Amino acid sequence: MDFKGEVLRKSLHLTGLLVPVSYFLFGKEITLIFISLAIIIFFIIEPYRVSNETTKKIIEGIKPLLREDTLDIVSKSIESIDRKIKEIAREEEKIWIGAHIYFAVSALLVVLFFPMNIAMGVLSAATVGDAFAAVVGIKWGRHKFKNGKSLEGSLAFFLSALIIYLFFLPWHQALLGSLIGAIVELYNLPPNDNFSNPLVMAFLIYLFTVI
Amino acid sequence: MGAIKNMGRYIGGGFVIMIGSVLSLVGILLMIETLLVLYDPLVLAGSILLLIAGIIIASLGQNYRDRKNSRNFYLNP
Repeated sequence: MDFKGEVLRKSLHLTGLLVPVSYFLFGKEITLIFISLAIIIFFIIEPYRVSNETTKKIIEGIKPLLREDTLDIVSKSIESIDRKIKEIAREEEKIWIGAHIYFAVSALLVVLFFPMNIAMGVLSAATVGDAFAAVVGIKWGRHKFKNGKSLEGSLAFFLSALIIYLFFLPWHQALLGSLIGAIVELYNLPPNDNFSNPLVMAFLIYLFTVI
Repeated sequence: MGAIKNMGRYIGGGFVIMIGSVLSLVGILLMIETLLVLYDPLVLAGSILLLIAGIIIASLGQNYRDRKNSRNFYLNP
């Protein structure tokens, strides 16, 4: 994926910030409902996203409803959106579930089981840090690790996560959280970093606060 | 010995798939009930987690059952 595609992908991922914003504005219960409904919708839509036939079927379906010139414009727009979505998807996401589902499930677990400041901090840091790491890593990444990630990207994650954590947590927890986040991001823990990163950060920060 | 092993894998995997499917079904029913009757966000979140846990357990069972060696059992039991 080229730099432009990666920036587009990560800017879409920034919609994950809706979760901490919703938590701040409306509280835990409304946020749980919001994430749960999002997961239900994602589960319903996901097979259609993966399938190559969906665009064709939509165009076939609206054919009788529109005039020929309007249909031409609409079908071109639908095909263009489909192409864009496929462009910014990773190879494995073209045949398997996407990062948005992993993130939504992880957000549900974090909001459900961890205190408000940790949940908001972790979800904001994971979203923004991931975006910064990818953009900096691709654009300025010179010192590469074996798995293709770069030292510059990891540093970008660490610094951006640290700044965000400082809004929600005391400095020592913020430092620990951003360090753990950078390491987890570097090792790309299975099944997907969008799932494992927030969960591991939240769990270890919580453990640190309890101890 | 190989045939017995395959049969065990087939039955064991099937049993795990059954447990996963039942959990998923309970999750879906609970989710529908929450959306229609209970309106409790915690139960809704729990039902989704139950559904996901069921799917994961069932797919683990299916992976175990469908390993290369056990395929022979249900093709040539």
